[in-house]
Amino acid sequence: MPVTSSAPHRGYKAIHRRLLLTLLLLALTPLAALGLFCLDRINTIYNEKISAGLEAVTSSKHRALDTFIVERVAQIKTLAFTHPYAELSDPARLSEIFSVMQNNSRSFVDLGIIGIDGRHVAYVGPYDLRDANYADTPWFHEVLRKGVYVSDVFMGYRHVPHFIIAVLRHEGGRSYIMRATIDMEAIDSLLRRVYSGQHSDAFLVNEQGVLQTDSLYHGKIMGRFRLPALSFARNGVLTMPLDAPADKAKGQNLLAAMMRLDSMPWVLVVLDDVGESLQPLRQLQVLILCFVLLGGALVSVGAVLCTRRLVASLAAADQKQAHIDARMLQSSKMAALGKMAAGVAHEVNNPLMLIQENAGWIRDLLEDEKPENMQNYQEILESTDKIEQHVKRAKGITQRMLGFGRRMNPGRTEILLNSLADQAVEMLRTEAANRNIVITREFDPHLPVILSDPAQLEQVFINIIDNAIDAIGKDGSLRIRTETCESGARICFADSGPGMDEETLKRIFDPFFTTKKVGEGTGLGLAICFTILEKLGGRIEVRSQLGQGTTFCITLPLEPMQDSQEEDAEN
Amino acid sequence: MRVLFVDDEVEFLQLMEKRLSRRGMEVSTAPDGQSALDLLDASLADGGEMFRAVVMDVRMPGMDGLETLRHMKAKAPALPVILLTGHACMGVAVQGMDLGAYDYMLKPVSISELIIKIEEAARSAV
Repeated sequence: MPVTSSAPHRGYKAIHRRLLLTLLLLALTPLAALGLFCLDRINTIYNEKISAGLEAVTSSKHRALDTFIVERVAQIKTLAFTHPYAELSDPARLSEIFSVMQNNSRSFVDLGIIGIDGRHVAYVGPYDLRDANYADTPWFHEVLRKGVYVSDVFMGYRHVPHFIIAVLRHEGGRSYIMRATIDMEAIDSLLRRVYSGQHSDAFLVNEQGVLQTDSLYHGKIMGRFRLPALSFARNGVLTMPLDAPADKAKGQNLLAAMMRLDSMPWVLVVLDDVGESLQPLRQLQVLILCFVLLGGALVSVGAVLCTRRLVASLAAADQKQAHIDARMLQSSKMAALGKMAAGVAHEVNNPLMLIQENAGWIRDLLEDEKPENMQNYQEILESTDKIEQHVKRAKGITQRMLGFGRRMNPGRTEILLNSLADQAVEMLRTEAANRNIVITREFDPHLPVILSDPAQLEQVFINIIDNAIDAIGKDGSLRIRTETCESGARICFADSGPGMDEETLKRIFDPFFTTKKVGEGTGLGLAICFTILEKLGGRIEVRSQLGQGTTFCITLPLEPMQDSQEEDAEN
Repeated sequence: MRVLFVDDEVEFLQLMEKRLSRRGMEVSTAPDGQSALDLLDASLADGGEMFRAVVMDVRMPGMDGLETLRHMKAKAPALPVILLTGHACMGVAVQGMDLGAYDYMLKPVSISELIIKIEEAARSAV
């Protein structure tokens, strides 16, 4: 089979590109989607969890603070209403009572009984407030009005931030006020237990935005804290991010939980640095990202390799198909031409026979004549000879044509290809030697024995060697090499002739195609070789380049195909 | 020596008749299988001289050479028949040999070879 045919160009680069793109899209899209989904879900769950944690802490502290204040108020009220004025106005007795109170819990700083004129009747505590007059202070007015009053934090006479619980008591036409100052330490310790992270903070603030306790990071007691403009009318915890630029600058991402106290018009604010709490989330996100990127890289490499392999297989399959197509084309061409050749040969044979018989009849008739009586006797005789000679030549051609068209079952004889090649070389050795052509043999000694038709194979070998000798002309070499191959055995004939151009190579196996002079070749030799080898289940390939000689390679199976039926040329 | 020549190519028949007659043979010709069988029947009925050999083309319109051969062999089994064929076709030749043909020759044949073959065939039948 000529090797000039090439695989059809199918734009492998475009196929490669499209296939790769599709594969990447199909593989990477779900991966990316999964990654994004995971990140989003984990983010949401984490945020919810952090918010819930903060809310729980806030809610619990809220309860504790409320309970603390309510209990303290109840304690003062109980004290005021269970002890007579006489007892309470006695500093020694008051001191005793205060001592008992402080034994249970150190929640108060001091305790005083204040007359309706605003001056202390009795006082127990660390400050000297004997000269203080509260008649004009806001809390004094409030307690007179409400009976029980808990103040916001204020400085007062002691010039220390504090807040008080005051209870108004009427006893036997006398009114007085019991006033206790809450120990800020007690409140602070309650709040401080909230802190979990490095930047956590918890404090109380009144509705005017005045801090009622110290904040770790947002100002001292009685400083200002800008509450987000939200209504605290509702119950429950309100959670929201705190967008303080200063915090952002510090790389903090604060989340605030706020809850209004039930006992006081104060708001408990708990702040937590989400950034800190989200640290494990960040690590998880990085991990997921790494997994997705690694997965993506693996998938991409896989897709590239897979695509490359697929396209390579496709190209190989195309190449193979192209070879098969070319071979099929040549086979069908051969079959059609073979049939035609046989038909032509048969039709020509009859007239040839008549020409020959008529020439013979002329010769018969000439025998009756006396040469001396016929002027052109000799000429006629010579012409008759020539007619017979050319009929013989034409007969040779028709014989070959019939041979080309003929389909015969191949014989099945055990053949040593090396010996058969030797025989063929022997037949043409003299001819080669006369033209100074060296025939070298490189035979594989381990060549398998094949089952084939020795006579037909020898005809093929002789034909190819003969062609090679003709192609070389004079002074050259012919190398015959045999080797074992996958399907059986292979024999190659490489000559040092002038080689062939592309056009010749394409038509080399076509019947009646010849490069020899008119009358020297019928153009059937290689066509016959092709059909013989096809019948034997083998194949013939040719490689040639102008100026570089020609190589014919014949591959033969270990045994011929079984399915061939004798297809006689038409009877 | 009486020879029957069967071929659908009439011109060829005439030439062969003339050429073989010149060489001392008595040639009867038939342009098809049926005529050949008729001639054979006539010669058998006559009780006269039998054909010593038959030269017959394989490919003929109507009854072909092999068919005619089968009938001839049924009538005169000993009669040697030489088949002429325009094909280098072993299949037909082998078939003909199986049916009892003496031999086959490829067209075109040389007159001398044909005469040798006819004489051989005639001798074999004696």
